Amino acid sequence: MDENLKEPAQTKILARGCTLLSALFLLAGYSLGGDWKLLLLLLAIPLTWVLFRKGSAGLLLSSLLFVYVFLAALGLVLHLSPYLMIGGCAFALAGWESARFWLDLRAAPLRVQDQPLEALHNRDLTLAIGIGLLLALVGLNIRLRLPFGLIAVLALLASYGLYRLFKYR
Amino acid sequence: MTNRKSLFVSLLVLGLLIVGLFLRNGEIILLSVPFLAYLLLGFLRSPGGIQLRAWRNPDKPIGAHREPVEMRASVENTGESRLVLSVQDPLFPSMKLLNGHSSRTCLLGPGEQLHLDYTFQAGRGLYAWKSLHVVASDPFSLFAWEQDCPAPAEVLIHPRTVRLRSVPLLPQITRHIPGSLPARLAGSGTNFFGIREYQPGDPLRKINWRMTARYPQKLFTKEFEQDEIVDIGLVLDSRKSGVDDAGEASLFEQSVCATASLAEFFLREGNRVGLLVFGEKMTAVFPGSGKRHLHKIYRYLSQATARQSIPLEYLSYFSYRLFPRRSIVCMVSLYRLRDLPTYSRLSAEGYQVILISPNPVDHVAPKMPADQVTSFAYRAARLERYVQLSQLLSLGIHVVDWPVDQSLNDVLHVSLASMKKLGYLRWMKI
Repeated sequence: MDENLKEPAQTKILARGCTLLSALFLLAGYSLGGDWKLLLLLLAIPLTWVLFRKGSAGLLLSSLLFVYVFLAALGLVLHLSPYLMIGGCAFALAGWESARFWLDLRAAPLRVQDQPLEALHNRDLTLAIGIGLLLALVGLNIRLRLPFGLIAVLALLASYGLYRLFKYR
Repeated sequence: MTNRKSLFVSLLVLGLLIVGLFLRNGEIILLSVPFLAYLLLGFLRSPGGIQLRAWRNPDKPIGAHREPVEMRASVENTGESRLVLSVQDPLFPSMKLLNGHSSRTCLLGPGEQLHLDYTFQAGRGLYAWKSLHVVASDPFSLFAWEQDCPAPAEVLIHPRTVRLRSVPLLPQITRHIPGSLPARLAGSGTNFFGIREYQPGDPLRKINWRMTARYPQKLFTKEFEQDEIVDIGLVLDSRKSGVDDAGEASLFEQSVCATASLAEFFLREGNRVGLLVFGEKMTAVFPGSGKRHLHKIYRYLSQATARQSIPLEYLSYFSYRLFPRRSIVCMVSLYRLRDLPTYSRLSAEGYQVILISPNPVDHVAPKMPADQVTSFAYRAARLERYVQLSQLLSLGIHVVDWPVDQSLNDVLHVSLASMKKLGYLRWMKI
């Protein structure tokens, strides 16, 4: 490796660590749920890997994230531990983002002097996931009885917000 | 500006919201919260007030074939906010990156500069850059702002050349300016021309004492052949051939190399050289001399590409304007039978035509399967070419049949020297 280039070691550790944590959270959730047959669903992860490994790395990572989110949502439908499912999902997001960043840096490598970018990315990612987890935990612990209509309106508002984001950015 | 990454995350969020509402499961909706926080932070960190200035500096504007060229592309953040910048300077397809990287991602503060340093090598051509592709985004690259910042630069890579030792020509007409080609006139050259009776004013060192001894009543003077410059028109045939392939070993590339080498040689010897790149897109350089003229010729040859075939008859429209009458016209072309009338016309108009023809039969033969049919086909193709080129010889056109695996120097020397000595061309043996 060129001596002026810097291996994004921190990002690499974060990507692997978060993906592993995510898998462990989901595994723990399914194990604690007691339905061992459902653990077979976790085989979807290596299956996705096999199916998409010939495609681009970005597609493979996105497919893996989709599988993780699907497994987490399925776990919630099956009344498995919401803490573990949401945690698994959040760490899957962090792992996905770190791995994507790592891929980008492989295409355009970091110089030694570009180290602050990696630090900024990892700090912001930690912040985003931290805030997301915190809000989700608050949501899990505060039980509010809201009418379905209000929730639907809030969901529509969130969707509209996303739409505006795409339309005017 | 959103991209596929943010679209994917948003679709995941929407999917979770819809499934949560459909199943009336609040926990599934909560699953989308980390994603929403991630999107929101990316949105808040997205760049605003972007002002960039870009430029690039190649270490040399003109390079030789496959010579390493260093490039420095720079971007300066002239705005007031800190930006996550990704700069890409994609290479042209025929370029090879030797050192460094042509893309970089970094955090650029106000007033800071980012430099992309890399070294590349390339084949002949005019490489012109107009801009530098810059992407400013949030740290997660969710909301990216793309721009092509103007950063113009040009690098001209000359065609490959072979340094020719000598091209023995016998021109019909010269320009009466001292040069290197025999003018068929008595003068101050080095080659013996003849003997005449001594005339007052002749230098004593030129007296032929042997002749004077034989005829003691008179004095005799040796005469030498005047060496002068000539007008030479180079014609590169850029019509695509069915037998030619692509790449640096192609016959067209060899033709470009031969034309460039001839131009360099003739101009080095002080002659006036004009160029016509004949093909679907014609480019011409009027006759001139000197180093600047050579660079002009190289510039045109660098940009020559093999294009669709057109009849050689169109050459007649250009030859009058470009090349003085009775000058030497040196064609570098794969010969086709239908070109014969044009060669005939050029010869009839007084041009001294020399055809340097890369041999397509010998070029293609090694790539064919080695069986008996191919062997017969090869022999038939060679005979056909022999007959075709014989027709040209009978018109008084000098033919140099060039198997491209042989040195152009040797082939030219042997072919044209024999032409000069014997008055006709010994060019092919079957």
